Amino acid sequence: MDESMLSILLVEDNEDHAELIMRSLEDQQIKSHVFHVTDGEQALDYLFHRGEYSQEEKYPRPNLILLDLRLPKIDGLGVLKEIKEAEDLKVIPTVVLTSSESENDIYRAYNYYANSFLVKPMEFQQFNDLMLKLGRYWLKCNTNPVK
Amino acid sequence: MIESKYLDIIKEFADNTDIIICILRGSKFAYANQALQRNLGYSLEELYAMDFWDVIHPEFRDLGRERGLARQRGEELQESYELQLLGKEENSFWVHLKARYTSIEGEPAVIVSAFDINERKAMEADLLRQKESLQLMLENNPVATALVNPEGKTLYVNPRFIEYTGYNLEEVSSSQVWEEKVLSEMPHRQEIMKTWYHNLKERGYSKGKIVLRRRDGERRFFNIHSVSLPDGHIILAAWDISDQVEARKILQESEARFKALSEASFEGIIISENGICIEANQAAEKLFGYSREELIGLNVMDFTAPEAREIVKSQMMSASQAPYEAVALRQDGSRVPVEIQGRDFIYQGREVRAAAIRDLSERRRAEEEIYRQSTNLQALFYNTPDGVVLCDAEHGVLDINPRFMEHFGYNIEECRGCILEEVLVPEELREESAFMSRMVSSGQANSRESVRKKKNGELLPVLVTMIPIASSGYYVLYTDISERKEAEATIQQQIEELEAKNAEMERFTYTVSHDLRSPLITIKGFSGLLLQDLEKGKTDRLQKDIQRIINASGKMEELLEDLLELSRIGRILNPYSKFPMNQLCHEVVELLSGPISQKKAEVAIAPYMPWVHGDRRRIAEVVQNLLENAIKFMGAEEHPRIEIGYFPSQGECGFFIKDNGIGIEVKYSEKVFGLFDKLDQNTEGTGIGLALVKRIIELHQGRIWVESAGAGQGSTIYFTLPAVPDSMTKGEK
Repeated sequence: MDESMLSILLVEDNEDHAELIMRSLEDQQIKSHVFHVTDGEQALDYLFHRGEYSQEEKYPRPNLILLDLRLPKIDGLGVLKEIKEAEDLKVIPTVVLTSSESENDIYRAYNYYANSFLVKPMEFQQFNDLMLKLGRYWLKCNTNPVK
Repeated sequence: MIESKYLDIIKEFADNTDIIICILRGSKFAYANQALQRNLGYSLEELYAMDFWDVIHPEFRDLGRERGLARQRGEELQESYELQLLGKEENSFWVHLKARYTSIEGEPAVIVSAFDINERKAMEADLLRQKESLQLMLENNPVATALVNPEGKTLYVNPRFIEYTGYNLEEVSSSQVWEEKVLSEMPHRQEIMKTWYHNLKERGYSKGKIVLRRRDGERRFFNIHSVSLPDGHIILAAWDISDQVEARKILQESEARFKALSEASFEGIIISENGICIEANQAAEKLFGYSREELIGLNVMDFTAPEAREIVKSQMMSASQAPYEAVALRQDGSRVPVEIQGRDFIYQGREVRAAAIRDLSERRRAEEEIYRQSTNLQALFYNTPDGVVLCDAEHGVLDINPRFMEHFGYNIEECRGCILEEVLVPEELREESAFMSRMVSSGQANSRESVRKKKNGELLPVLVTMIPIASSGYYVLYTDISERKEAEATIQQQIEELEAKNAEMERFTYTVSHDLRSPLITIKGFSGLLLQDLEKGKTDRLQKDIQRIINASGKMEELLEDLLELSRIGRILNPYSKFPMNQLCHEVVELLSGPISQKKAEVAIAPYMPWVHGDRRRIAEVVQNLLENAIKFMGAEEHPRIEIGYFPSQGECGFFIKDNGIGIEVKYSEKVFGLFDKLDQNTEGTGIGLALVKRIIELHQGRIWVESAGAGQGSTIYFTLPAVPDSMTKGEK
């Protein structure tokens, strides 16, 4: 895998939102590969290489996790908690990307060691802008712990 | 011979003198003068006819005759006699008589002269008599008497003296004995005796007290008087006053003691004689408001209130010693309740009555206070809303109040003497109760919320308060807190409900902020992308993106409608009615006949289902939602089958809707009821259905839960509804 080819795990139950995010990322100069899962259970299966995600080569460990909070089955905070409690997963920068502005959610997310908390902007331009900055920051500015 | 010229003068003298003169010739009167006639009461003629011996008192006649005869014999005799003459009236009187023998005309004659010595004779007799009686008096005098000559030698002591002192005359005749023995107890006897003699000499008498040592050694007190006689002799008179001295000493001591006692006494002491106060102490002054001087002389009734005079009088009259109550009248007119205890006795030789008078006002006040307090306490005891038990130090019941009986159903006979806590305390609380008893026994009041058992076995939540009593024992108060406990439970329940509502409200807000934003982001995002694509002339995904926008709008509309519906349910329930569940289920199945037949599902409704009591329309919605769910999650089952049934449950009606669809994993069985929670994003609907169902069931005080053996195993949703109240069923029948 190309070194500049960074992998992102996108946990998003809303197909439309996932499409929006992925298109924003595609437009950028950064080469990345996005793996999209639609609920918390799938996300954890992916990260722990369980079930259909047991092939490690096919489902690489991501350099960044974009996590929605409101998810079917296991919600985003539950996923976050498990990631941050797992010795080999907790170093992966995990950015909460949600439509919620609830203070409670923000607090709890940080309490579970979220690396960042981003609210999906309503306006398309801002949404696009945020995705641009997000990609640039996490995939360019930031030095990743994971080789 | 006398010259005849003087004879007349002599004769004249002889007739006028008081001296008796007569001349005898033989034994016959030859002459008798006037004095003789006067003294004897005879006339001259009578005398001439009488014999001389006739006027001589018979006692002296023999003496006269003897003398006469002796003279005739020529014997020399004295010529004067003292003898008694006898008068005409048999009166006799002493005379000093002189007879002069002579001869007249040759014949023997006697010239007799006599003078009256009656007075002297009477004096002599008196003197003798006096001497005798004096002797008698001295001999029998109760006063010791002694006669001392000027040289100090004792000449006479009377028997009483000997009796008193033990010394006889010989022993005390010398002054040395007096000094060394009789007066040996007096330290300054020489000076005293000096003064004694001095006084005697100067004043003729001397008085004093001496201490006399008797022969047997006993000391006696004497009062001694002495008088100096003209010839220098001294008469001593002494009488024993030892008993008096002793008596006075005793009296003084007892008086002093009485004084001290009475002054020290807090009780007023009044000594009265015939009802008149003769002595009073300080306390009496204070009690009656009079000074001691004012009290003395007052009639006891003067300081007795009129209403008490009768009893005081009768007590004094009867000499009663028993204490009794009366009312004192103070000088200022105020009244003081008193207790009096009187006693008759002899005081300073007088029959008096002493009365101790105790001021009862303080005691009365205290008694009234105690009475008032105890009445107050009684009122409290009988009327307090708490059950009260009075226990002794050994935890035995002394008394219980009526409220206790109401609380626990025991009466006083059942409780008295028994260890109450043993009766009331449930087995598992024995330790706690014993701890409380130990605390109160050590004097510490303590209080604890607990539970106690009634006689009928029911448990009563109470606040048990134990209060020690200063003397011994303690009170136990049982405050019925069942209502409070109920209220607390209600409040707790309400708090829980409120918290649940709050959580739901939060959920709602969250939903609005998240779930409603979600489609908006989609709409705005894809609209932006559409514009971009149009600018670039890209048309390949236009249609698809527009469809996304339309879907998101539709979803939003759906969400808004559901939210509206939910908020309506939260507030509005239609009036409850009684209806058969069978009928309702058939109606719902009829309503859903379209989707059911579309899925080729088989729906079985149990033939027997009870009537329920609730909001019929909402319960129809519940059944409809659950059926729709079952149809929706039927999956790829070839023979979909839905069963609606009934199960009995305590006090409520249980129903279930069972399907053989995709089932549900156990860990998600709670999450399905959350607002807008969906297990699968790809299914239709907003996820509000089960939240709505849960809400309706809960509003009916029912419960709802889901059971499933797991994915692909089908699922059963159970819910309960209130049964028809008995009163309504009875009314029906």
